[in-house]
Amino acid sequence: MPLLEVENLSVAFHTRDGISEAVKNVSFSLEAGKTLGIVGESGSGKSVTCYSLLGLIPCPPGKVSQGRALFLGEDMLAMTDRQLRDIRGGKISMIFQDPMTSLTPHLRIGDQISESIRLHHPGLNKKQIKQKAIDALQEVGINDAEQRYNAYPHEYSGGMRQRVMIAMALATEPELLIADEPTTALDVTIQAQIIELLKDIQDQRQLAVIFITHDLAVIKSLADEVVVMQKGEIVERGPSLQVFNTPKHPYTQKLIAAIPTTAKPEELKNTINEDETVLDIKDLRTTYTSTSGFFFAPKIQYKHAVKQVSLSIHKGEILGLVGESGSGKSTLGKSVMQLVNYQQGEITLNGRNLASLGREALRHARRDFQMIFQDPYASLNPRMSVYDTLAEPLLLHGIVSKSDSKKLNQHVNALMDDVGLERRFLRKYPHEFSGGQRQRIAIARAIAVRPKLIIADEPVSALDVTIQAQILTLLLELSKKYQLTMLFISHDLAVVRYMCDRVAVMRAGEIVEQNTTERIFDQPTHEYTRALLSAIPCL
Amino acid sequence: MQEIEQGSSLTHDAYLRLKKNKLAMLSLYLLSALLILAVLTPWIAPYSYEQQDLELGASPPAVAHWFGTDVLGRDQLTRVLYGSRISLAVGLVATFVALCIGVLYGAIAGFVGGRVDQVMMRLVDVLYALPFAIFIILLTVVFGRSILLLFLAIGAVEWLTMARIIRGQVLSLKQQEFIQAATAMGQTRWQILRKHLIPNAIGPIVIYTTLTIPSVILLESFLSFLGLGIQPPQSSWGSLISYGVETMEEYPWLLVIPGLTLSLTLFSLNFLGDGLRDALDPRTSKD
Amino acid sequence: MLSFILKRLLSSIPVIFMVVLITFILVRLAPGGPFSDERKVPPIVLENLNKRYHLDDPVYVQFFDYIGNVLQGDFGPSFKYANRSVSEIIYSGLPITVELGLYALLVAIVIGITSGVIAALRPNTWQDYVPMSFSMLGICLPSFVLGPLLILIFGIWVQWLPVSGWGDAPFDKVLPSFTLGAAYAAYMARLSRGGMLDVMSQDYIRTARAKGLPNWLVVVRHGLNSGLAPVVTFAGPAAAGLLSGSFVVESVFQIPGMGRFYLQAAFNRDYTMILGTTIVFSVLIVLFNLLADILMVWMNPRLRHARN
Repeated sequence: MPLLEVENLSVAFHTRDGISEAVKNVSFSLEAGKTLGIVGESGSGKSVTCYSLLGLIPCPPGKVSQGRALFLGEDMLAMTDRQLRDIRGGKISMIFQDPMTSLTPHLRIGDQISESIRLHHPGLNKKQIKQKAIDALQEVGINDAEQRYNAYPHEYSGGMRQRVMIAMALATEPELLIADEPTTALDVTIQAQIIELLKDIQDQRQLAVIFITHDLAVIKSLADEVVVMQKGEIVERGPSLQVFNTPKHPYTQKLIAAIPTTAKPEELKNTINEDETVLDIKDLRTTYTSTSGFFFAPKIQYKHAVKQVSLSIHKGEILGLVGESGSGKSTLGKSVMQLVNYQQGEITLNGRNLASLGREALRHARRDFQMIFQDPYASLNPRMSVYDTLAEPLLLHGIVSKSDSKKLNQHVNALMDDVGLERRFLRKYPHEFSGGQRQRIAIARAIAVRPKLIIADEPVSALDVTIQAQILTLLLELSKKYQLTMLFISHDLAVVRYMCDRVAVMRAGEIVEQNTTERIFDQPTHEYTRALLSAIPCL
Repeated sequence: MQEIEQGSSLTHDAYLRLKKNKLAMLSLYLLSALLILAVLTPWIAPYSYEQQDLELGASPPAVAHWFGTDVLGRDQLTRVLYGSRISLAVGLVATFVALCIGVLYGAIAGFVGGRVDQVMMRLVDVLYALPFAIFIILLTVVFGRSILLLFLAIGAVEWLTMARIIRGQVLSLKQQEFIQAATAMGQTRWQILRKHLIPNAIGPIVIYTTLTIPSVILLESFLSFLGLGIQPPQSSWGSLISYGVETMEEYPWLLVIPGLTLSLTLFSLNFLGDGLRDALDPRTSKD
Repeated sequence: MLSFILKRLLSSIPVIFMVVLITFILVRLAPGGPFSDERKVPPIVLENLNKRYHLDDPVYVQFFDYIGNVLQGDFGPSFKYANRSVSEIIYSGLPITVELGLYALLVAIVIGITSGVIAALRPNTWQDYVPMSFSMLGICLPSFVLGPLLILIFGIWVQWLPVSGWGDAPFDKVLPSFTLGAAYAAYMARLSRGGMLDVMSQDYIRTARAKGLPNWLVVVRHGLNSGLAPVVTFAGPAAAGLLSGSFVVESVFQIPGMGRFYLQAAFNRDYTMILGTTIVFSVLIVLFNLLADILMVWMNPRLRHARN
């Protein structure tokens, strides 16, 4: 008998705008001690499927409209709330995506773990419960567990908090662990550690795991079986290797093809003019200050986000800037854009030192360097139509005069064509577009003034993998078409490898290694680069 | 050439949402009616303000006097209508004063930020901790009881919350990437303020203005009730209620009718404010 | 934590000082001396009076004399009640006003928070609509309408409860406390509903539910702390509102508290009385704000530790 058997599960949400079916007719089963991967993009219903098993979707508006879910032979969907609560957190535990927000901030770590144990092992006394909690913390690799028992969540880093979440889930000795994107919010090196940890625990405990993720590479090394979900339905299922090596459904094929695994194809390569340096950064140092304390005696703290960085980009080149969170890569980008103050050193763009420009001169110089931001939901003014958003830079820098509406229309239409958006959407507003479309608008806005340099700060990290592939291709096409030079900031090494001609690796505000993409990936010299590379899960 | 699809702006969406909210729309109609009545009072009031009928004295609501008459035989409907003029005028003018000071102060603090912001907001914190009703009473004692003072004093109290809300709004907007994008594009501070910050802050301003009016009206009525606001022969809802309380055992309608008018107005303003909040709040919009 | 309390205590001293200073200046600015609108007083008597009340000293000397006296609990003589000092009047009225305020606060907290939390747990059901409608009623029925209405209904028509006095008859504290507390109960209900709705959509609530905790434990142990933060922030302004609300309630229910004396002083232009009561009210409000701040920090471990 399988540990868990889900049959014809359907879940619908009843909202103001009507009924939306989030999960349609989903069936799968899981044997004890095995790992099932559920893969899908946002909106595929992969999380809703698992949440509805445990009664964790909000109802209303959510409602399980049909199906059975047999856990050890009993239908969880037919259970009363009380019966279900005994299973939830006891026999079936969960861990979640964002460890920063998934622990209650005002309760001690130890108390949060003990709470679970007390609930599901009512026979234990206080001392035994505490011991069990400490054992669980030790099992997930938290060394000074006795002291850490009394700490609050904010005293832990993200990776450590995810370990605490895992300890909390394991402390009740579950038979099934449901992990909902447990490594998505983590840096790649931390992700590798957490995955290693999960594998070890599973081996030792013979634990069954459902691993929900959007990241095919992560699941490949973990899962025995994989189901691929699209728009609430399972489109493909099978043993992990089979699904990845010989995908049958076109959607699975598309998903796998969307993951960049190589350098960019020849036809998308730009000609690089080594003699012409577009951007030259010398000894850049950016410091954030924060003041606290009394008004009369302020305490000023300095945080060096970028220390002593030098790099240069040639005409037509795409330079990748890679680093984990807190490495200062975004600050570096914003420093170049002159969006942060408190900086020393020289930033020379086309022979002009940006730092020496006055406010007015800088405003005009901004025509030469533009930025694409990470979050397409936040980077467009929600109250301006696409037309106004695109016309704004053209008018501002005097490329078209306001009176010449015909020329303005031509320009704006051409921009829409460039980024592959239909012209008829011009009068629409940002909230009427999907994330990928919005990022296209943001790209159109950036290239509108034909800048010499574009700084792209994690331009695809908020997007689904298939959309991500489209946007990357678009960026490459545009940079070839308009001879763009680009500083491409990303945490994702695979994306950087695909996009960039050269790569600079950043850690703690410093560039530890920079070289051609090929050499960085084939012969990394710095140990941090090697650590990063070995941490990437690959297909 | 393809046909261009007309998009639906956030403001338009908000309008549609508001229209669906029956309670808010009802409140809107009610308030509009009240406002029109108040403006037209001198022409439509059934009796003159000071007209007494001592023989009739206090009489309960009847055909000749819909809302009854007071002890001096004055028509209560007329008095309530004239009271509305004062109460609404105070509500609107003082809110306007609060709006101007609050928006300017909050926007400057939020936009400039840093040290200036800290000092400005510390001042607001200090002022917040002060017993304002007491200060207004103090002011009326010192400078005499005048309606102008009332406007200024109430406006000066109510701007604090407005300033806080606007500052918070500006601060959170300032961190949004589209504001950074505007800077990166090369727009001037003034352009950013005008084209990006203000249009996006207007929602909370509208909501909060709607919710400030009732609290201003309440404060004025409170002072008038205590006899420290509007002085006879003028009367506002607050002073009418205060007369009503004196004789409520014998003539309860003199208390109930102005009280009901005041409460109904406050109700409508609050419901409208809530409706606007639901309609304009980005969290309930399409995303 | 201790150092935070000390810091906040120290920083409230200038606030109180400012209040005293402003009040003092305002009172001095008032047109005409306290004795000028009385019947014609011979100049020599006026001079004597001025001397008796030290009104012929330079203003700053008067100010610091006054501060010195206040620190010893002496608010000077009342200008109107020749045989009573301001301190006496304050001592007799303050306990009553504070008691009334505390009862009202209790009404506000108990009714407000309970109904707000219940409403938040079942949004858009009758358990939400009913308390929220009452809360709207509470906000829109100001105490000077609610109080008389309650007197009319419970005191005069059905005659269940006494309608005047404080501590003279059994249950005579019920109506005033409820009248004063109702509006704040309404505000707190709305605030706690909003706060709880926010919290209940947090990730850590999902974690707590995934542990298999029963619903009430999820709410009490994981939700309330952050959900009630807006209520705690509101406690400061609420205290100020309760004190000024006591003016109305004390005069409607004829309670001999500070609020009534303050009003009488305002009408009589009894300047020492106004000065004294304003200072006491301000100190109370500042202290209450301080308490609210401390509670806020204490509830949040991040702040609690950072300020150590």
